[in-house]
Amino acid sequence: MKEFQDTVLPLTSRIYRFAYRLAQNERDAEDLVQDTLLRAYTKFSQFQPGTSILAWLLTITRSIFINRYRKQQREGQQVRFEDMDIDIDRVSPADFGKTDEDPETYLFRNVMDADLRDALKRLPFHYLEVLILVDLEDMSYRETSEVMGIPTGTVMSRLHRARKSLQADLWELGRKRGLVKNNIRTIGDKQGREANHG
Amino acid sequence: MDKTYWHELHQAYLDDELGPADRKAFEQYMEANPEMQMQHRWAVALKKRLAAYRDSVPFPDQVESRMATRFSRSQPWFRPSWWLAASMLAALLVMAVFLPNRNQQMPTFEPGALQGTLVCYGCELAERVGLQKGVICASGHELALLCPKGELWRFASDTQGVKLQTDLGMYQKRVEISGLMHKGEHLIRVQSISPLAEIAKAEFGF
Repeated sequence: MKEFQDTVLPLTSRIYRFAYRLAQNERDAEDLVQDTLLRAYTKFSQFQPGTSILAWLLTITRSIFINRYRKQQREGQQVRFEDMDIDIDRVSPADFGKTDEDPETYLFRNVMDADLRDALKRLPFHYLEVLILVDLEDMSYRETSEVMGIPTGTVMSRLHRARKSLQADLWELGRKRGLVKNNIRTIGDKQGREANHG
Repeated sequence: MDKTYWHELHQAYLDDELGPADRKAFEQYMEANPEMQMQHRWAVALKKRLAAYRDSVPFPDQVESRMATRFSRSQPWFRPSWWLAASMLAALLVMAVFLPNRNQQMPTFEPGALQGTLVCYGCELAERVGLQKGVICASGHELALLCPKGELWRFASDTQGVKLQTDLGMYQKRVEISGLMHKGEHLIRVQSISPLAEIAKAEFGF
């Protein structure tokens, strides 16, 4: 019991944060935390010392979430990867307003938390969870692969697609808000970039 | 190596998951590839933005205190060892309640053979409790098998059993009976009966 208290309970906030990202609301997040802790308590003897306790706990959280909530949620907006790739590749510095900042920094600085949250919501679940684990929870690829039960190579490929999908979504948001002009130039257009900054 | 390979490697580069050799190889690729340089700027900016978003989830204080309280205080009902003990107790109770009934409803008979003397069941019981013979079996004698150790076995009321129960000509005969035995009930389903040569009168004190 004491070992459980010492090792697991200090991670409650991490579990809650992960649960909140998955469930998108406080009530379900708290339920997820409680159920995770209960299950972790009853199965604590199965935890292998030397492995990541956080990964073990988030595996439980993810499992409970998938079994309980995921069916109630939509799968997220499915973006054809080929289309998405073209959009991103065509973003160039010239697409942005005049600023001293890098265009990408300029765009993301003007994206509100609520916009980012909505964009994350629109991601397919298998992209969302890898992004949460790596970018929001700072987990290594090995830990992420443990939590998701997939090879690290799959973590990398999903991460690539998740990030590109998110970039594309946020770029589209920026375009609608006038943060990004609708000019289409290729990334390799060095002259365009220099002209824009000059 | 195709474009996808480098894009996926790029993620590992961003997340500091590459070894020195792969890292150097990727940097060389990126140096020669403006498109990848652009992608890298995008990815770094996105990662920074996500990092800023990371701590935006408010962690309600009451959640931590509720969980800490729940798991810190002694909750006997929640201890796995207690659950195990409770489960075992419940199983024992179920066995205690249901198994005897089950035995009553479905007695188990095992094949076997017994030697003994045929006596009147009612008379034997009456004698054992200090009553006069014939008090219990006023409506008629019914034979049973008295074994050397004093066990008294009745015969099941099937065709063979009823025939033996009422065959008073066999009274005090020493026999060997084969059949199916129910030890708990001291009941025999008689399959065959063989009179033994010796009369057990001396042995049983009759």
